[in-house]
Amino acid sequence: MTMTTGGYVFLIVCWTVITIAFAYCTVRTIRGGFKE
Amino acid sequence: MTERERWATRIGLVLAMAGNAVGLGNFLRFPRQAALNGGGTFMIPYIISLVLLGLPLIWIEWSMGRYGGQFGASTTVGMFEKIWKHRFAKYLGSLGFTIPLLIVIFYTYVESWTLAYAFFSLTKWYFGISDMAQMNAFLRGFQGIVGHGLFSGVMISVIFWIITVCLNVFVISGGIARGIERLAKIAMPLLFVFAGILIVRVFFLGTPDPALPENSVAAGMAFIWNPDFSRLGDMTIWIAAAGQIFFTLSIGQGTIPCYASYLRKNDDTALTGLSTVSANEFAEVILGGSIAIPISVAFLGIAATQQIAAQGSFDLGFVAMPMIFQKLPMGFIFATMWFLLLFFAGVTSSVALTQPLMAFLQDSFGVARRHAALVLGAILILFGLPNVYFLKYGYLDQCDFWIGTIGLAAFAFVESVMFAWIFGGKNMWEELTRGADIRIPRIFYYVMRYVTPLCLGVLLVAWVWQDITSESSIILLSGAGEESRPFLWFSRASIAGIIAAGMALVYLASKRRKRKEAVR
Repeated sequence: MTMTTGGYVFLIVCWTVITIAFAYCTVRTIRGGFKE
Repeated sequence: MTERERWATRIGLVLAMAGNAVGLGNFLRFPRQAALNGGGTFMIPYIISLVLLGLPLIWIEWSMGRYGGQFGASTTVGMFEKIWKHRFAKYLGSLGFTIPLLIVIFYTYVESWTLAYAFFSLTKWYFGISDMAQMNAFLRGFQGIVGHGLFSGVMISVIFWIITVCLNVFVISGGIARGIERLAKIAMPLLFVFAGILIVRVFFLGTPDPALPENSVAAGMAFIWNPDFSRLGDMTIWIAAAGQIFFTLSIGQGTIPCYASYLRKNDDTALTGLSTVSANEFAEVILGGSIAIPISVAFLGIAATQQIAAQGSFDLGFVAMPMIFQKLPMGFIFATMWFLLLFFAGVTSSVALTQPLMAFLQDSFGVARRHAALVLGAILILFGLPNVYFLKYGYLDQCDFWIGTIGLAAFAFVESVMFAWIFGGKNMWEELTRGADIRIPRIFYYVMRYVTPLCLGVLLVAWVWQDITSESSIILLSGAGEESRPFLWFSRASIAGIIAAGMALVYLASKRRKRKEAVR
């Protein structure tokens, strides 16, 4: 079994979106701290 | 009144919440579900379920937890009582500590297998076993289901289970900041590091046997990711995807409201909730999807991996993986890392599952934290023993189905109706957006009120329907042998007994509170 174009598309899109979301949320959360 | 416990740092809270969500399912259940349900196509219903079911429920639980915490309520008992002015509310809320208790009773046993296998890997106990049947016999021998030369009954299994329970008790006796948060700050980074090392090792395997070029890591990734669009119209993959989102985020367990109750009134829940979801998805889709299935295809081939995946997640984790690691140079180190990774994923979830009952005992009966932890340890041992000794009769499967599947969905449904309807849409939205560090699109207001409860209702009906129409129905006990039935009924009676005991405790706590108020 070889990776199809569709497979690459799903893999790249999912990995990119999740990695960006994870990095963005983590950085903002760490910077934010608690309000009180 | 004594000062309520609080999270020490926001990153500690996120790691603890992510630790609650990241469990064995991220590394064993997800890759199996994706591979069996249309590969890349599975990601379409998966992401839709995340947006319509997972994220709204996470925000509901976070906001409800923080709301309850303002009144000193750490469990859904007090939260439901504040939201719904009805004498029945607190009894319904008791499910918020009995459900996680029932889960952790069997979860600690499964978690202990990962610790035991980490030890077996480090000491090379199973090294030399080179076929699936023998590896399966090793697992079943360890579990005490069949006789095995290396094990005398379930003794070894019991020893690791008791060590696991003691570790859990030790952590929870430290409290929120000094126990749970500290564990998360150690275990979660280690989990990510171990997973990273394993992925690099897996990706560098390429084609382990040049004589079998079709068995490669690339073929394994293709097995998970190549889309099969013909499956998109199949209802079962939508149910499987919604179920995976539901389980992976640890929704309906009462743990998220409990953890969130230790926030302050204006602390953010929107971004922090999203952070834990994104951390969980990173661990599941990127890390979980790149280890077990690709390595299995590289060494065993597509057909064997399909067969293993069809047999279940545990066969993938505890039968195929130990066999494969033996074929790698320094394989015992990678095998130890794999099982420690699973153990860290498990222990950060199990401590979260114990916290609602701990909090209830502390808040409602004034039990000291260390004493409450000891009581909980005793309960885990006492009610966990049947899981150990009656495993072969399907005792644990009953608990997993009634509580770990139906119970969770039913309780999440109750939570969503309670917060989005009884508390009211306007109050819900105000509670969610107060102190928020991100702007939540208004469309989620409608999703939370209409779509999420509807999805949960459909999911619940679909699971019941799938079970009663299957050949080995857990509800109808149609696949159970005559010798197993008494144990299965015993399992059901234990579940009912613990739920009833939880409600009785709520009644006693209510009496105690009224007495104290009368004295004042």
